[in-house]
Amino acid sequence: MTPPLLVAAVDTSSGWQTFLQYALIGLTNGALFALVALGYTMVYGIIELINFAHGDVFMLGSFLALALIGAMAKYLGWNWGEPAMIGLGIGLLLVVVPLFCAALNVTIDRVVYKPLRRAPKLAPLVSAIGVSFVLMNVGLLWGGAADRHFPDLVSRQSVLGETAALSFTVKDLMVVAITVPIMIALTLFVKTTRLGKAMRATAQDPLAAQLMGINVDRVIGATFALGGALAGAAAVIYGLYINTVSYQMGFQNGLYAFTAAVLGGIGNIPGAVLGGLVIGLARSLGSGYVGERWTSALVFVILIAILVFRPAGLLGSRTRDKV
Amino acid sequence: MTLLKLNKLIVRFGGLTAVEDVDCVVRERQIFSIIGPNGAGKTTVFNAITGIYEPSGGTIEFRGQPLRRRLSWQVLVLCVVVGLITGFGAALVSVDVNALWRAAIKRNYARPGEPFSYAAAGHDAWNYMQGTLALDRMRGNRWAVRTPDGRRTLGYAKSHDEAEQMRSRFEKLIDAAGSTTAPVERDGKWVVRDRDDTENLASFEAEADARAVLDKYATLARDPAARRRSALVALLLGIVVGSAGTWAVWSRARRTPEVISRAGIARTFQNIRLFQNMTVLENVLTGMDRGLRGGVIRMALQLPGIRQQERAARERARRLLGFVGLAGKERMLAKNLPYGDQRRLEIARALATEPQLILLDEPAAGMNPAESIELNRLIGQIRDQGLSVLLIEHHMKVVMGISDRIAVLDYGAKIAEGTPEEVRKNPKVIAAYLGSEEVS
Repeated sequence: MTPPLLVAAVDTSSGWQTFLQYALIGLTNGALFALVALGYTMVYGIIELINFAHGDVFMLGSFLALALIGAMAKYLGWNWGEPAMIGLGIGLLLVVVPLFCAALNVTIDRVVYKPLRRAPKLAPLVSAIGVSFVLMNVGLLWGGAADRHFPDLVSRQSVLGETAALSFTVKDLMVVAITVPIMIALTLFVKTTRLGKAMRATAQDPLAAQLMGINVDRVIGATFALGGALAGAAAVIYGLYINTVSYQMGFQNGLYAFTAAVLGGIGNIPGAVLGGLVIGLARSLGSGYVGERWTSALVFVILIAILVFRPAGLLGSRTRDKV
Repeated sequence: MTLLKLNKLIVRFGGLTAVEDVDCVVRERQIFSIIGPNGAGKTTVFNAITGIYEPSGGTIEFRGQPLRRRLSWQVLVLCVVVGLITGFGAALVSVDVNALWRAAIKRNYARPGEPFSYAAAGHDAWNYMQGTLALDRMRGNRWAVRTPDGRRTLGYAKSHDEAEQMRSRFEKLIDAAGSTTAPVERDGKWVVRDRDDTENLASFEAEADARAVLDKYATLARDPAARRRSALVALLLGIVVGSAGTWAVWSRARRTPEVISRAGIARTFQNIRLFQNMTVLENVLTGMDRGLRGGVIRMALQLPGIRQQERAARERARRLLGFVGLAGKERMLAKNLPYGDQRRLEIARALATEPQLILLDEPAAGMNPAESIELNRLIGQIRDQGLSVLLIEHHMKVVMGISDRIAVLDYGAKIAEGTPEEVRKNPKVIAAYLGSEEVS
C-alpha cells in the first residue's frame, strides 16, 4: 500500500499540458517528502545514524494533529467550517505538533541513542529499528489498525481559475506555501546562526568541535529537535493534503523520504530537498505514463541507477561536509 | 605558580603501555617542550590531557583541580527520575503481562453493548493489581464473578447487586482461606467462618468438603500477595538499576574534551583538524561560541543583544587572525589555505577559546626555515600574553630556541627534564634521541 497520489483530476487532452500537470503534482508531493527527508539527513550528517524511528515520529505527529482537530471542535467549540478559523487552526497545529515531535525526537535521542554514543555504529542503528517498532505499536494502540480519515479542511478550488488548463488547487498551494519557507528558514538557520555553525562544526569533526568547547550532546539534541519539528510540520501538511492517516504511514513515507535523502547525498541539506523533489516527480510521472503499480519500482530503479554512477548521491561530495 | 601537573601518568592500550609514570609540571608563563623520537608517546600525553583518552593511572591536575565535569544537582535529579521510570517499568513487566492484558484490555473488548474505553481499562488494570475480583456483565443482564485476571469464573448472579454480594462473600472466603482459619463444627455441620470469626460463609455436611473449599480459595489468596511482592521487588530493583546506570553513563563522560576546553586548555593537532568546509573566520568563531549567551529562539530571531555579541565576537576573531598573521584571508575556505596558514589558523582557533594553557602538537611540521622562525616569534608572543605553552616539536632549532623547560620521552618513559642547556648535555638524551638521529 502506497500513499495515494492526487492524479485523478488530470486532463489528458494535450501532451505538454498533461506533462506539466503531472510535474506540478510531483513537485508538490516532493516538497512533502523533502521535509521528512531533511530530518533523516540532518541526523545522519551529525552522528552518522540512520534514524529509522523518524518516519514513526512523523506518523505520531499526524495522529496528534488528527486528535487535536477533533478535540478543538469538541472542547473549544472550534468551527472548522469557517475559512478564518481553518487558517488559524492550521497555524496552531503547525506550532503544537512540531513541538510535540521535537520533544519526542529529543527524548528518543536522550534515552536510546545517547548512552550508545561511544558504542559501535551498529548498536544505535539496531536500536533505531527497535524504537521504530515501539512507536509503530504506540500508533496502532492510539489510532487502531484501520486507515483513519483526516478532515478535508482545505478547499480543492483551483487558484488558477476554473477555466485554466492546469489545475493547481488551494491545497497544493498550501503545501508549497508551508514547505518552501520552512526549507529556506532551515538553510538560513544552519548557515548564519551560532547553533548552525556549531552543527556544521560537529558534523565535520566532532572531536575538534568538542575541543572548541562545543557541547556536542547539546548540539546533537538540537539537531534531533529540528528534525523532529520538520517531521511534525510535514505530518500536519500530509494529513491535510492526503486526508488518510494510518499507523503504517510512518514506515511507507519514511522509506520514500529516506530514499530521497540517499538520492540527494545523505547528510546534505540541499541534497535532501532535491532528492525529495526527484522522488515526487518520479512517482507522479511514473504513475501517469507508466502505471500506478510501477511507481515504487521506478523510484527504486532511479535510486539504484544514481547510486551506481554517483555513490555519494546527487549533491554528495567526498569531503565530510554533512550538514 | 603551577598550572598543569601530571602525576605518574600511565596510558595503556590493552597490554601495550604507551606512556609510563610520566611526571610533568608546567608553570604559568612557561614554554614547556616535550621531545623524543617518534613513537615515544608524546601525542598520547596530549590526548590524555585533553580527555581523548582516559588515563589508565596517575592524575592530571589543572590549577590544583582534577579536570572533570562538576557534579550538579540536575544530574542527581536525572538519576532519580530515570530510576523511578525504570522502576515502574520493571514493576509493570514483573506482573503477568498476559493476565494483565486479559484483565484490562481483552475483557473490555468482549463486553457486550459497550465500546472500549481507556478509563474502564485503566480501572480494570488497577483492580487487577489490587487483586479485586472482577465483575463481568454477560448477555441478558447476568453477571459473572471472576478471578482478577478474568480467567476463572467463580459464580454467576442475576443482578448487579447480587453479584456485588457474591463478590464480597467470595472475597471473605478467600481472605479466610488465606488466614489460618479451619472449618468448625456447628450444629452437626462444618462451617467456614470469616477471618474475624463473625459470620458464616459456607457450611458443609463433611469436614473434607469444607477443607477442600478452603484449599481451593487458598491458592487465590496467595496470588495477589505474591503479585504485590514481586512487583515491589521489581520496582526497587528497577530504581537501583536505573539510577545506577544513569550515574554510570554520566560519570564515564566526566572527562570529555569539552570540559577540558572550558577549563582553559586548548590544543592543535599534528595532522591539522580544521573545519575544512568553513571559512577562516567561522573556524575562529566556533572557538568563541561557548563564551556567548542566548537561547535558540533568540538566535533564530537574531535579536539585537545577540547581534551585538556576535559583532563583538567577529571583531575579536579578526584581531586574533591579525595576531597570527592571517589578516585579509577571513573569507577563504579553510581547506583552500596553504599548509603553513592552516597551522596558524589552528593556533588562532585554539586561542579563541581563551585558554590559559595551549598545547601545540608539532606546529612547525612541514614548515620551511623562514616560516619556523616566524612561528618561534608567534609562540614567544603567546607566552608574553600570559599563556603557558606545552609544545611537541621535532625541529631542534624551534625547541632549543624558545623552551623554558624540556622533557624528553623515550618508549613512553621520561628520561630527562631540565633547561635546554641541561637536556642538550644529558648523555641519556644523546644516546636515546640525538645520538640515534646523528647516526642515521
